[in-house]
Amino acid sequence: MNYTPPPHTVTQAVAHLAEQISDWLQVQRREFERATLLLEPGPLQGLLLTAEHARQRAAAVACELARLNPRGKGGFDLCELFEELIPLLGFVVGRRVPSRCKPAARPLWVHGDRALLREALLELAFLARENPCGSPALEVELNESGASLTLSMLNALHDQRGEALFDVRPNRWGPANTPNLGLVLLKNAMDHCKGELHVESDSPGGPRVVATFPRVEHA
Amino acid sequence: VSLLHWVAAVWAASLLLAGLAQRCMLKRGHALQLAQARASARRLLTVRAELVARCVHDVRSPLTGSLGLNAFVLEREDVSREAKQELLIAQEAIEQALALLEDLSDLASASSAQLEFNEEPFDLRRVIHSTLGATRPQLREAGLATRTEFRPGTPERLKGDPRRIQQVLTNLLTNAIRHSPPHGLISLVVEGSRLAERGTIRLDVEDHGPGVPVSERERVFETYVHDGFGQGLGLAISRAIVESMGGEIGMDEGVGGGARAWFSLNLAIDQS
Repeated sequence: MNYTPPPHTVTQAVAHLAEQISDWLQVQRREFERATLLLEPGPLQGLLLTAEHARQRAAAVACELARLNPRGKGGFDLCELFEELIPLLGFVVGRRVPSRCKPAARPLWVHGDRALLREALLELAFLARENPCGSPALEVELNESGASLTLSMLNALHDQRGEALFDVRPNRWGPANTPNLGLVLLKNAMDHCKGELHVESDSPGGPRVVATFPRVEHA
Repeated sequence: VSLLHWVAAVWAASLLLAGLAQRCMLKRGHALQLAQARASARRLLTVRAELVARCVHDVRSPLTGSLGLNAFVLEREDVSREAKQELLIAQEAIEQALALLEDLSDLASASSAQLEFNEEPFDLRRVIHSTLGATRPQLREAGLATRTEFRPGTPERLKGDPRRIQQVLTNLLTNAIRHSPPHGLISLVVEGSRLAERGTIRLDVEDHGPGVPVSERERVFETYVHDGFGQGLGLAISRAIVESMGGEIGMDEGVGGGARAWFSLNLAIDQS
């Protein structure tokens, strides 16, 4: 049987586009945050704050539209999610995100919350962007048994091991000193997906976080 | 016996007539129900299109404001290079969101046959050049070259909606860019003819990618067929636009084995 990924109806497509608009607005939020930290305190920061308020209003409406189609509660096709997100992740990282996908792997049903994973992947892309030495910083592989996502990290995090890495704490990777939310969100999303998350601290290119998503029979 | 036969025959005939009448009434009832259901579905489509249009407006207005403020800060000389770099990415993110918003608006309008068209004089050659200019960054990024052929006899001054023609051509070009091998060539052929006060134009966009199998050629214009690169809406929206303008759109095999997407329109000639 041929598998056609969603959306199949106009309402689903509207919600689908609204989801993507929300993603771009999330990118905008992060860029505003970073730019605000780089600006001298003063009226320009105030202007960016006004722009951020406008963004928030737009994002709230886009989120409501995206809710027209509550997809992914209980299970979703990971291939479809990655296909849709990889160009955006590449935009955020600043270089192409390599992905290896076997055609037979499609659809790749996994458990969990699609929206949660979507948010986590976008946050991971921001973490990957701040890692100048890892090349490629973010990689995706889809195969018969499931999928894996690899994030290469800076040696600066080498001393942090196990659970501590996934706590909310100031991020030491970038100049912005933003909270290390990406890994926390990923851990949360992985818990929902019943997946595994481990850190390879002795890999040649520096420590790496590997997330493995197990395939399930059907969503 | 004869009277009994007559009574039975009349009784059977009246039963038959009653049955037929009931069947007719049922059919009429069904037709009425069907018409009511159609009207109700049409109303729902209109309501959905209006709801989406209102939401699009509620997203677009603050985003445009945000874009303006962002552009203002970007132009300031007292902003560091690092901050400007972040703001440039933010600007691109807003522009991407606005482009998706246009798709969303068109999608909802197309599904309820509410696409809006302008009728104004335009220069076809100029429309094509400006579309190619707008896709230049994508072409450069993919390392692709273009070849444009404007065949003799093609009417150039026409009346119609140049913005919509540009939108369809952009979608076909974007599709060709996505499926072209690196350092490939995309050909754009424009041809047409003139008959009295009307002109027919046909625009072909050909790539040198893997092509589209015969069985899939009709399907690619169906709504939301995902090609693994975009939202899968560009070609569906293009079909809605072209068909609303009374034209045709299709996909076949190019000379080099790649895909050739085309659309044709019959438009009034601008006599001014």
